[in-house]
Amino acid sequence: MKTYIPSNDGYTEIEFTLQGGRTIASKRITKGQSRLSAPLHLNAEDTLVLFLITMGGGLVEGEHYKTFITSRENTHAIVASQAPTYVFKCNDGKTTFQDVKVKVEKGAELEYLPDDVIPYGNSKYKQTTQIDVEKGASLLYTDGVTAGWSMNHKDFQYRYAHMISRISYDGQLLFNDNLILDPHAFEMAEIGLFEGYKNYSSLVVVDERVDAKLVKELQDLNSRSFPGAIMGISLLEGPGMVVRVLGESINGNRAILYKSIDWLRSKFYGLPHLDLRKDVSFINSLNAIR
Amino acid sequence: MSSSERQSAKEEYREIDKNLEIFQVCDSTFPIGTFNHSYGMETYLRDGIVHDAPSFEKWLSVYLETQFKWGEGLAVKLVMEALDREEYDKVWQIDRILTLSAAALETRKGASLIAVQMIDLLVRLYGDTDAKEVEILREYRIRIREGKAFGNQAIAFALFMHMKGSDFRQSVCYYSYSIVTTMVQNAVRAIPLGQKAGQDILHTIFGDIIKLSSAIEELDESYLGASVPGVELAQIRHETTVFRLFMS
Repeated sequence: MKTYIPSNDGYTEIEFTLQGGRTIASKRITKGQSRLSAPLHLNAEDTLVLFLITMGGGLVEGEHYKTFITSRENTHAIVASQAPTYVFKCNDGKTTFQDVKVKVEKGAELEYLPDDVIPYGNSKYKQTTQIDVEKGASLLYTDGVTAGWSMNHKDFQYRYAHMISRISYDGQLLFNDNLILDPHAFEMAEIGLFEGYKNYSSLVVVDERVDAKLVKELQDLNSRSFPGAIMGISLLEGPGMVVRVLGESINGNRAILYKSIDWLRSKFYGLPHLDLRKDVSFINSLNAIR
Repeated sequence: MSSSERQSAKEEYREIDKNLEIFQVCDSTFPIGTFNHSYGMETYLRDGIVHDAPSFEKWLSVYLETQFKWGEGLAVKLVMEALDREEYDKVWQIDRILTLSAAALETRKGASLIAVQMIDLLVRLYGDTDAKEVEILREYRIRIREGKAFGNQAIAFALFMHMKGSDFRQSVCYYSYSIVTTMVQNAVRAIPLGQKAGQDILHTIFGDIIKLSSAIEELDESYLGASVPGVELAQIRHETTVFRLFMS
């Protein structure tokens, strides 16, 4: 294990444990540019939430961020992020890395819902997420990437983004989600790429209750077309499924994914509509905490 | 004819025989059911995005340069390298990663169906040879039946080409050719396009095939199964397309 962590990089380690029937954040370690919110509870439910925070507002060229999340047996928690992951420009050609390792133990339920990645003009980004879900555990995982941000307000000005999510269930690979975005090699607005849309979002669900019938139900729930977006749902090779959205806006994509998330939360966990309270006042209050 | 001339003629015929056997497997009439699969193209057809020769060609070249290059194309190279090193277990690992990289259920199912027909046919044609590759093909079939492997046509093809003593460049290019001819035939039927327009597309796509093969030379296993948003979402959305000519 790497012991030296340069001060400009970020490191986060989270562990959830069950104590007296309640989930507590038994480990909340951050180093470098990474921070965590205080453990919060949502308005409408008693679920524990932690927000990942990056100081300085984004990831700087050549930085290497590492995040470890462990949900011990029978816990239920949400890990979200305070803001999108901004990947700043990489003018010296160095890649910025983010590695995330997640473990969800038997009987645990984890909602890992980070915001989208927004790569700046000229940035190079590599993200590797490894999620191991034990038999009988449950996972909701969102991820996404946008057309980015640039000084000239043009889309897809970043150089390269490679995002891999390897998800295993019961010790076996379930889904190897490997996304390569290379705006220098491809016309990103074209067919097959972003097709005129600006945001690509994904929800991966792993839970023993996921089967062809459940996928069909969720497909039926989403059978009417969404304005400004296209979406699809498919069963993975085991108890998991994927929901994918290509759309015009981050919030539009988020709304589509959260429709499925809310339906699944109710069905699986008996929990209400997810309200992460991420309005301006909430972010201000988060800033006040850190 | 001198004896040396006879010798060289014999060698040439041996080479021709090998090529004929490869042509047979690459032919779009090789009955493994590829005509049933559009690799997501049909979703664009239903949406009116693919509607003529240029729009089909655009889709085809993006598909080849992305999901195909990082997926089946790279798999052909990785399998042949594994066979060269006699790392036979690596074949099953590639089968697993390649299959589990596809988010769309229909894409995985389609690949498996084609692979089974391809393996059965290759074993039927070459079952009497005692090549190691035939033995692996037989094991592949058993593994698929027992749920220990998923099955992919590119892997079966790589095994065949390795048996024929071809290198990975030939294998990647000829495999790409076999996929492209089938796709063009599918487009001729479904869009529809004229047969001559189909041949025009085929002819211009050869340059892309050479390009993608040389790109694959630089790729390692970390690229295996990579994709891009639109190609993959079209494959997922095909599942809920109401009117369908193709299974995937």
